[in-house]
Amino acid sequence: MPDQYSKRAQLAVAVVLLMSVFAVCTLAGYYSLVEREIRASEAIVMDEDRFTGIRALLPARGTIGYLSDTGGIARNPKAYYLTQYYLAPLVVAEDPEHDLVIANFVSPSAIATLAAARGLTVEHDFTNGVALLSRRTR
Amino acid sequence: MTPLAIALLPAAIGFLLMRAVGGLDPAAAGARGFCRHDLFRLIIGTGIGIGLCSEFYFAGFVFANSGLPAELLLSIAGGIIVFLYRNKTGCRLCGTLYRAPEARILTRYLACAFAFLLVIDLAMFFQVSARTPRGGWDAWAIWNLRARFLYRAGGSAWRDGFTELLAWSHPDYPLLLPAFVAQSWRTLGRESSVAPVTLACFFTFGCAGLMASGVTILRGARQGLLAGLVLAATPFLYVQGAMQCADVPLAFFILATLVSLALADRFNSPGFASIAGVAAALAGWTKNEGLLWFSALLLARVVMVRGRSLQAFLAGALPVLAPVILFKACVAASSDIFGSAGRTGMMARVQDPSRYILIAKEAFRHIREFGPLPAGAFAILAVYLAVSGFQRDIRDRAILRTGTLALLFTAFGYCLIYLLRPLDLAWLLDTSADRLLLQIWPGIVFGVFLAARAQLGADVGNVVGSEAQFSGTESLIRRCR
Repeated sequence: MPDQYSKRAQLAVAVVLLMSVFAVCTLAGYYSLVEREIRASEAIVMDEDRFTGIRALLPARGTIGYLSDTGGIARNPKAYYLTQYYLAPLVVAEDPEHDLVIANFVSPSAIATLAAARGLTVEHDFTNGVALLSRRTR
Repeated sequence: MTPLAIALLPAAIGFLLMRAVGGLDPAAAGARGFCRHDLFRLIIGTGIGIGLCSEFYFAGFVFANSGLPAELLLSIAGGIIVFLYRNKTGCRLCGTLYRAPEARILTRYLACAFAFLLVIDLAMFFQVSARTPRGGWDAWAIWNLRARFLYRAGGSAWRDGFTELLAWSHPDYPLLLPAFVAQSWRTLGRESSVAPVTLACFFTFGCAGLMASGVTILRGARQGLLAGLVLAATPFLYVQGAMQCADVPLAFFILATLVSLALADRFNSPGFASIAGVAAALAGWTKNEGLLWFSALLLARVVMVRGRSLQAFLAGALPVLAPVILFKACVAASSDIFGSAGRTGMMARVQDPSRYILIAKEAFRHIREFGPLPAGAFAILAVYLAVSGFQRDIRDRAILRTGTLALLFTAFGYCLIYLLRPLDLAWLLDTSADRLLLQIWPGIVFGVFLAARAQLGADVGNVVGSEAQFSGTESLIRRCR
């Protein structure tokens, strides 16, 4: 029995040390991990309020186009993905070749020019970079 | 009250289901009514309840009803079974195990250390959740986006969320998380970040709880607490949990499968084997990798123990797999691996040796840095196993062999996915390898603590009853040889 207790005592000390190492490692690990993960997530600005107005003008269901001044889907997919996230269950296609198109611009003043270049008319400009465009067939 | 409202029905369904089939036996001499093993039943049951509610909600869409009657029916049926058998069955887990009255101080110390680390984890989880209530990129761009489609769309419009136009959001991914979040919003009557955060919180801390309670039943409280500590000391689990990624629920279901199957083997219980089937199938309802896990486990079970308990396993799995098959066949878009885009250039990718080298190199790097702990989480675990040595208890040999092979098959499957996927491989490995390791990490920890000799003096494991079940396992092992 004394041998057992001795061995158990040694193991208990080992476990205490192991747990202490775990605890310290956990704290140290968190410091680097949390900052890394949050930095990546916080870079995404959730600006859903900008889209509140346009949702009332859009149909409940269907597919609409997308136009942006930030270099398109390939160069700035984040803005497009967020637009889709905000406007679900409406499907936002990656291109502007649709009857209704949502404009999501960084420079609100550029909306009219870019829309005209694509054969689109500004139906409603919310003056916050978001506008509803439509394709007028003649 | 909001998180409680979300979790109440699935917890009730799952707990009653576990009480009905999970280790209660008319012949068992254990506690009648509630016992200490009900915490284990509650944790695993809540996970299963969440999965089942999510499937009912999805089936409700397909068959144009709310899905709520089926949920209520199941909980009422479970309640009736539990009520009718409340005094006629005993807990088999209580009846076959005993606790040695020694070294309680050590157990208490370990419990305190476990609680201390969980408090740190909880604080960190809520800090991250407060800063990113909509979760990480995958959470809002895949899971919560799909939840919005399900919740906001009426009639048949919910199917719009699975169009090829949204291929970037992976419309082929299974729906456990989106369907449960949408269902929670329906319960609350509004969209709220509380639903996905509550769900993430349950699965994240459920992993540690399930690990500790499961290993405690199989190997004793000290081993259980040590195993729980290893998960509590894995920061990556809690940060990814707070990011609401689906890898954590998948890790939970992989662990639930292994724990249930270990209990099925140990106690010769078809009930636990069917629970293992349900958990494995729910892994497939969580992520595509879960389907890989289901197939890997099935194959490993057939190879290692000639399909022991397979009937009970499949009896639990098949009803739960039905909605998954329905979803994949009728709703989901084609996957980026096996769709037309994925098939283009597939042979060239398979024949490119640089891809194999990169996968191997990055896999070793991520294994080394996983945790992240200075010593490396896998290394710590390996040292623990080396110091402890292997236990020689043949009762766990079947699940150890099955589990090890299933995890190896799964890891091999991951490598194959990397090899075939038509995306920039370096980027793919960099952004996902840690999360794939996280999926199998609790399963690995469970395997290690089941295989290791209990150096701290096991307080369970010496079965005092049920010699028949012991000899059943022995004959099974003999057949394995």
